[in-house]
Amino acid sequence: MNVGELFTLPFTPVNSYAAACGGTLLFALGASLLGLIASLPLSFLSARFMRNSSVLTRVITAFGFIPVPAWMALLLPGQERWAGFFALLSLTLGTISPIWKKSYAALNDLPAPLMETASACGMSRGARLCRLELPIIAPALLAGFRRAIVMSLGWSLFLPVFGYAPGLDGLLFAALKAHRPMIAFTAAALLLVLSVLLCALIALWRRKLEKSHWRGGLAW
Amino acid sequence: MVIRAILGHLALVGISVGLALLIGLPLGLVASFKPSLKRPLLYIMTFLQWLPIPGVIALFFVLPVSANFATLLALTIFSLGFVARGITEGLNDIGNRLQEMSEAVGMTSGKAARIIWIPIALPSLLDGLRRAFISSTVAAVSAGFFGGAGLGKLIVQGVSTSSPMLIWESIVWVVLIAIAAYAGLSVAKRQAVADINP
Repeated sequence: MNVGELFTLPFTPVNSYAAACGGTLLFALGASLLGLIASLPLSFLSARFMRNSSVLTRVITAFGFIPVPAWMALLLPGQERWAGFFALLSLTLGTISPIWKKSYAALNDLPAPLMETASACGMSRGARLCRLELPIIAPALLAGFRRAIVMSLGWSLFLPVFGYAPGLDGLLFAALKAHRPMIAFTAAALLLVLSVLLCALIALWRRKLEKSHWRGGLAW
Repeated sequence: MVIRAILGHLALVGISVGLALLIGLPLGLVASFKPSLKRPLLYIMTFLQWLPIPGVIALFFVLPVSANFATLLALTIFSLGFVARGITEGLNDIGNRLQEMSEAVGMTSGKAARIIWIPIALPSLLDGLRRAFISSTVAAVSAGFFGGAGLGKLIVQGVSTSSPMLIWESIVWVVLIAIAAYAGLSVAKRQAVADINP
């Protein structure tokens, strides 16, 4: 490591680190939210209409094995004007499977007697969805969302290779190219800190949700 | 070129999961029999899985180590959580009783681990290994972006030579390796469950 860099590091504008963190954070959160929106109906459909070992569930599982950089490599090159959209799309494609997996498993584990009782009481499908199913699977959904955030934060690091750099990734690759290891190290460390902070927040939220289930009954 | 990339990828994943097994197995056993250690260990393992692998590789890559070594370290750290969790979940509440029983019949710890503890925890351990292997297979693609071996290199080459076929080839191989691991370890897990409950 170049010792001289230790002295130049403090003069790297803090604003540029903050802006890079903000860009990465927004991008990862956006991709994970889009993944959540895409995978939620998919998991309800697959839980209602498919058996556990159906071909489609296996296809969705195998879809999750496709590495996100491969999506980036297929979608991003040559897309100068729409690079941001395709970068977000490639990250979103990677977040669908982890969220689907958790929510699908949670939906399959819903207590059958509870659902039957709800139907017998005349609860509509919409009411069952909003007052029973979603609250019960919420902790599992959050676990999937957490995994999706970790994945999108990590994979977003490779976006500069394909000509798009929304945040810390750009800083890291520029520093590596310019042989500035200290800045690259700081960018990588900041990415890890961001990931841990977000995961801790989601874990706290999840614990709160689980506790509220027990305190106030299952339905909110 | 493709075969070399596949072999490189398999080596990265195999070595890191193997190392994680070597470190995680005793760690999981110790945590199962020492309740005071179990909670902190599980917290650490959970914490490790909150770290994005490409970020960890980038962090190690900045240090004077090769991309392959950085990837190996990152994948080992990541897989460790799955292995240690597999063992502790497999021996969940019976850890202490098993230890007392094996001590009562005069078994050494090594013998008890080989004959009783590991076979009981095997289904859960195989489940953890399956998750570790699949996640590492996908994540090992990162190595190629830092100049290391594996199928990620094909993606980088595919982009630099504008050859989508190379990219598709790498996708197909990553998915095939992951499916093979999924199927193989699922069968092994089913067999282990059948062995415990004949």
